[in-house]
Amino acid sequence: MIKFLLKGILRDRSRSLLPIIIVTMGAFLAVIMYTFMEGGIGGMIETSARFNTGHVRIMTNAYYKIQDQVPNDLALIEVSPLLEKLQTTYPDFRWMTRIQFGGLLDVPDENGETLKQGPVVGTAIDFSSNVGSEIMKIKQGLVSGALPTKPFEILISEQFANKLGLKIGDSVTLLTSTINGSMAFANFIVSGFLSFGINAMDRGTIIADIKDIQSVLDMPDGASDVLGFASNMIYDDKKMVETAKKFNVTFGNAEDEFAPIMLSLGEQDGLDEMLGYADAAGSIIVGLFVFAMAIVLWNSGLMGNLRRYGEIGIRLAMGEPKGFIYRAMILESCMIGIIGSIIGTIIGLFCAYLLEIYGLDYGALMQNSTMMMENVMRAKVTPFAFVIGFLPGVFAPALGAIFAGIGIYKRQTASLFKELEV
Amino acid sequence: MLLALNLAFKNLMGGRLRTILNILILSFAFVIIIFFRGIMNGMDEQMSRAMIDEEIAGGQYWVESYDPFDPLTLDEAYMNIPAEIQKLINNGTAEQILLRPATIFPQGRDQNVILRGINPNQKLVTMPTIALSSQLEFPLLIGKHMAKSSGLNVGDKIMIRWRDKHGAFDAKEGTIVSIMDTIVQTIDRGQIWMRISDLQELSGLPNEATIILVDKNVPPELITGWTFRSTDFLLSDVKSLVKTKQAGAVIMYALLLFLAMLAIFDTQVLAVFRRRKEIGTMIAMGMTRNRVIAIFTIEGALNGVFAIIAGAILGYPLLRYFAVKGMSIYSAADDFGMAIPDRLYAYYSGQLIIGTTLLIFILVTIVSYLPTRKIAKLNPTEAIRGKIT
Repeated sequence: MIKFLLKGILRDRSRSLLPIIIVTMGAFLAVIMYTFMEGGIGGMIETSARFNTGHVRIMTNAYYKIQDQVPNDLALIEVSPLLEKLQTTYPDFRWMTRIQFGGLLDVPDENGETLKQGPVVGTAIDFSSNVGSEIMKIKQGLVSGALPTKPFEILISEQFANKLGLKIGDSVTLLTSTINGSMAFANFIVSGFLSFGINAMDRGTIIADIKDIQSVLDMPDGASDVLGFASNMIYDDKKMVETAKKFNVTFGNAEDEFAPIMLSLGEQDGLDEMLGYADAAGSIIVGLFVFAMAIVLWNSGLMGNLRRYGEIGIRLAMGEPKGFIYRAMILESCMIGIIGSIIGTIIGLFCAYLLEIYGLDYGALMQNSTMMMENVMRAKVTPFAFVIGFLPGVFAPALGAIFAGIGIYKRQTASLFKELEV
Repeated sequence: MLLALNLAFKNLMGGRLRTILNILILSFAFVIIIFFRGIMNGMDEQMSRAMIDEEIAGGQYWVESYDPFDPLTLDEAYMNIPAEIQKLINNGTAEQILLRPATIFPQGRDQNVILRGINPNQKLVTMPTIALSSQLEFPLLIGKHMAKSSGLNVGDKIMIRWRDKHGAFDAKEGTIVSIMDTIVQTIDRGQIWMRISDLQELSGLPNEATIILVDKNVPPELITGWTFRSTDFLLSDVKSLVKTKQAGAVIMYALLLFLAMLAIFDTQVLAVFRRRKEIGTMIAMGMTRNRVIAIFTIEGALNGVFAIIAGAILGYPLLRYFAVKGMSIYSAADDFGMAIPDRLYAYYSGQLIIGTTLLIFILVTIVSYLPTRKIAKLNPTEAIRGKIT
């Protein structure tokens, strides 16, 4: 039966060409939309996780309430024992301690007077373990110079360093405040320049070793937060929400403002809302196209039935049951759906692959952005991208055929020969 | 013509379900295109309006060294106000703004900010600068995001540290007198507004400014050391964002229209094929080929007319809902740093509706005409026998 239908599809162009074109378009659209969403949203999740939220993030209750202010006076203390506990309790996670801070970076002239001064956002990580620099992809972001190896060496975003006229090895002064509110000054040597391809990071970021910053800010063994990552670096929302819940039951204490609290990535910065919004937008657009495709294919099924009026009549006259013909029509449309989906998926994957390599640069539109989002948005080809095109691709023609084929039951066997003008 | 219309209408009505499906898909495409473009137009309109009303006015003069994306230029970005601008300031058609980098210490923590000095009684932008007329010694105005990120409320005192023009640090305590509700991030995030007289005095920069706002009726002039930035220039980010979104949406419109046109094309091909005897008879009875082509083309084009009518009837509630109630945007959208509103209200201009209507009608007519060209080559005697060559 399938062989017979397939021959019909391949040999009778008028039967299959238009539906295949429509299905190809639908499948192509589904693949492109899905891969671009996956790439864009996935990229944003990954960037947010690496540079801001982690897959899970631990801070104090008090810090969490006003985290926008980066209140290091409310930061975690005695982080080393906490880190050991975390590594024991959650062996399938990678943990990094971090201090976030702000201040002014002062570039002196040859007399030691201020030549230039600019605001900076700083991140301090532990360079003695590779976890922090690996997670933040510091090595990949290093444009020139090297990672800090000696005390009081820092990395500066290249864009910012160029504006300050800095060279590798130059000395700069960080003006900031300790957690006790007093002014703090510290001299650093620039060891390298970084470029992340994220406007929010490239505008004015410095990265220092956590021990140096702990001493500058008067927070021995302290950290703004501890970020946790799944060992495979893939964010699983359900798992992370569950982990955070369990942690808060075991280690948390809502009454104690300095007790730790764990949040999943989705629970921070309105990311779950944003992800939901993006998902909904994608589903709505794909849904609209499935609807449009189903109508067009329904229409095309009607056309097909009219075109094949004679053929259906002869088959009925020869004794083929109406139900059998109806089912054959639906099966045929499913086959057309599969053929169209294969073609659409191939074209879609090819375009998605190009989008994955080259991406679309939105950097110019995000100069004021504070979002942890790469300037270049790329598609991402995942295993599911190979099948997503088949959902609308097979569903829409089948739906169209189900409606269009109803006409078969309206044919009167008695008047067939008259109709066929035999 | 009337006969052709009449015939076409009757034939179309005879198609029943096929006609309904064609009209449905076309009207669906019509409504979706108008809806999405309306949302984009609304976004453009809201963002541009907010920026013009609250920040840009009729355009701005910038000190040549000023670059809003480079905070390092702020230290040196000021200049004496030239006589021609002073004249405009005196007659109320221009206002000066001075920008200085500073640090504030909310709850003892430091936070980098930009101080913006402005005349409290200015009338060029709708910012509530009048609050700075307060009798308090050092009144300050901030936006809601700034208030959130610094934990400041009306009445709070805040220590500000800045450097004067000689590079010497100085500090003073100010009082938050008002928090403005704005969607324009560039006048809110990391910005503290104060009286320009206060800022000029504190930084030792009397009669100096960074930006000059001008009224929309003031023609731009060439002024040494200053660059005029038109509203078009200052809104270029908004326009680029909308254009980018539009470009993405065009692919969707094109695919939807392509689907609809395929349906029409297929219907027309089938109509010519199935009604070849009818066509042959018409030609044999003396109707010109062009007349027959016209009948079939009008028949196809009527799909477009009915689709537009159906779209207007079926789509009106949806389109109106989004124009009146709007569509909520996720709360973190303003992190893009642009003036993105909490709710987007669709805006359907006459140009948009007429343009889309014409586009659909013209496309449908062309697509309806293409398959009918076969009629021109028909041999009537063959056609009457049911053959088409």
